[in-house]
Amino acid sequence: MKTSVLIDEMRLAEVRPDQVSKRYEELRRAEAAHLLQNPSTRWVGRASPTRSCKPEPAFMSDGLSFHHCPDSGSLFASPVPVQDELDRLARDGEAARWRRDYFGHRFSEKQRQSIHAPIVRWAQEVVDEYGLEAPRTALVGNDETGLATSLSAMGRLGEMVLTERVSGQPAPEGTVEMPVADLGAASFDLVFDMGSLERVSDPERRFALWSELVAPGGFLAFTTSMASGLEYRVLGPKAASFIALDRLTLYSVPALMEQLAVHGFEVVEFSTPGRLDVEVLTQAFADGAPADNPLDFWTHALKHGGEDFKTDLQRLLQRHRFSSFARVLARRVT
Amino acid sequence: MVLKIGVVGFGKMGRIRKATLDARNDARVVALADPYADMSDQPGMIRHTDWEKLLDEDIDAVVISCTNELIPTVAVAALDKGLHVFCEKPPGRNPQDVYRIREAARQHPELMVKFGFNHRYHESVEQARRLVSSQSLGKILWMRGVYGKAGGPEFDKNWRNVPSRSGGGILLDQGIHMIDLFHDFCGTFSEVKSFVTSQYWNIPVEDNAFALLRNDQGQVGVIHSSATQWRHTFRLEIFLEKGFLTLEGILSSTMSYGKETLIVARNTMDENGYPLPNPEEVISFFADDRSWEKEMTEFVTCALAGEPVRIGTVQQAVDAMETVFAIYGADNSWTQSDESEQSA
Repeated sequence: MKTSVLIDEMRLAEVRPDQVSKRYEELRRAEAAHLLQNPSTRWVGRASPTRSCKPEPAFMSDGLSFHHCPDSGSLFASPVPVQDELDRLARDGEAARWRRDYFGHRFSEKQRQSIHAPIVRWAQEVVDEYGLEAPRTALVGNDETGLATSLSAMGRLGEMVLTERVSGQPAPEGTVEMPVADLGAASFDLVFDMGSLERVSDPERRFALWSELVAPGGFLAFTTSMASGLEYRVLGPKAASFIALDRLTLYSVPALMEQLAVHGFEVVEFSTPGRLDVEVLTQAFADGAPADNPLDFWTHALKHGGEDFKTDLQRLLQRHRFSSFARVLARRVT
Repeated sequence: MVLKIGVVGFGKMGRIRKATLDARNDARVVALADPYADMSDQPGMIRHTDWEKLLDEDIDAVVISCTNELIPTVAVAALDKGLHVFCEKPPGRNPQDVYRIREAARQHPELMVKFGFNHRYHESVEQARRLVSSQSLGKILWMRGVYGKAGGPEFDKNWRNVPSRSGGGILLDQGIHMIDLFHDFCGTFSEVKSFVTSQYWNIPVEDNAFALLRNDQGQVGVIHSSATQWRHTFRLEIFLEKGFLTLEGILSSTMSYGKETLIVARNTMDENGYPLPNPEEVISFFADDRSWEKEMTEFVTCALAGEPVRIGTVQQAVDAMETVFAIYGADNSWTQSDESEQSA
């Protein structure tokens, strides 16, 4: 398994402009509160996200109960709204509409490139390194930033199918949008899924879907937020990334590996692009969270450590897979 | 079907091979042979001190993990008994030894012969090979490889430094892996220049070898194999038309060669199309050493299916051995202290 240090791939200011995330977070929190107060909301309880987890209560956040797995370190909410409720919000909710409008009309081309360039580079690496010839590709999940357009423009992928979408930018020319039910089993050489695992109410189903879509020997490329990373471990529920309803399951590295193995995948790469951990933490302390205690090591180190320290820390987190964000490449072996 | 296997030589490598095979369900080690090793912790195994008796057991294949001087004799005898053969590297003491195995293999084309060049299975090497094959970095211009260790306790008394048993020193024992990797990436070499020395250790074989190699395409390889590399080092640099790859560290049981890393750098050009210096480097780390497992997977599955192996072939073993001896021969000042023993 490869772990790459990709320190200069992504900056916080590019992928999560402050005014964007704050407004989105407010709207999302309001939606979570509405779901909790609405008696018609349907909820589903979850035992644990992995077979080896014996969960214990951890904390409440935005009205949701979170649990953790002491052995593996995964975090998950239970109960959670059923997927239909989440899909309805993704389609018609205020937060989703605001986000679509932002990415559709107010997002600059430069910002779009900042977010998409590392993913396109990654896709190109996978195609090069594994000798994939015009791989039949699926992009799973909502695509609010228009990633399908950037991936198509790369010119190295074969037919591209968009699926399991309830919202997002219009499908670009040359791609096909199809419901999962209409897709042939094991028919894709390459499947992308960006940042949806932590948001779905039933991640087990998402693993199963990946397993259905990827052909034997084919590849799954996905990104997700990781419970074992610095941001969640230092800030806990106060982490800025801990946005209501957007963080329902956070796997630890071993738990994610276990789930992928159960579904027939072997992880060939586990990396974290960018400096997000350190920048998110620095920003959080600048904003006064959790307590801005001058005697706290992290507060002190990030305030006084200088740029070299921050770079070294981010590099260390990436090397040892203690980052809060991950990109994973897995090969379907069974 | 389950491949029944006998292991000849039950030292460190024999034990690694057996443990690797024990984890499989398509192969089973049933017999061991070693005149010196304590095999009392291997209940249920047929145990011999004489390797010839092992070849008479009900087995389909043999893993030869003994000292170099015995390798060709055991390999040829095993092939003549109708057994598939897996041999450790180096494949004998000299090219003549491996030619004997090649001749026996030619007489038994239905049998599998594979040599233990396991470095080709390391993840960093596999990844580098994929990148080179993709040609996204262009063609290889040159390579530079350093593979060295600090000898170790009683290094000077080790059988590996006795010419009649080993056939050569550090280059033949460890450097041959780097040579095999050079061949993997660039093919074989037609020109060789070298310095072969024995400066520090009081041994009759080399403790350092420095060589310049060039193939018919003009690609150049520089290798330094050392038994006075006080910090254990594995480093292979591959420079191509559009960037470079650096493989540093190689996973081993002791981790003494450091974490296995691959640096990939892709050139960027200035406005006139000239490469800018110091391109951005992406460093990748590799966590698992599955080289032994992958090596045995190829051996067992090919033996069972009757298919040829791709890695560790007889030709690759011949090529590696010929390059080692071309390096020895290219330094006119170098002679092993008791060279006559080589052909014993």
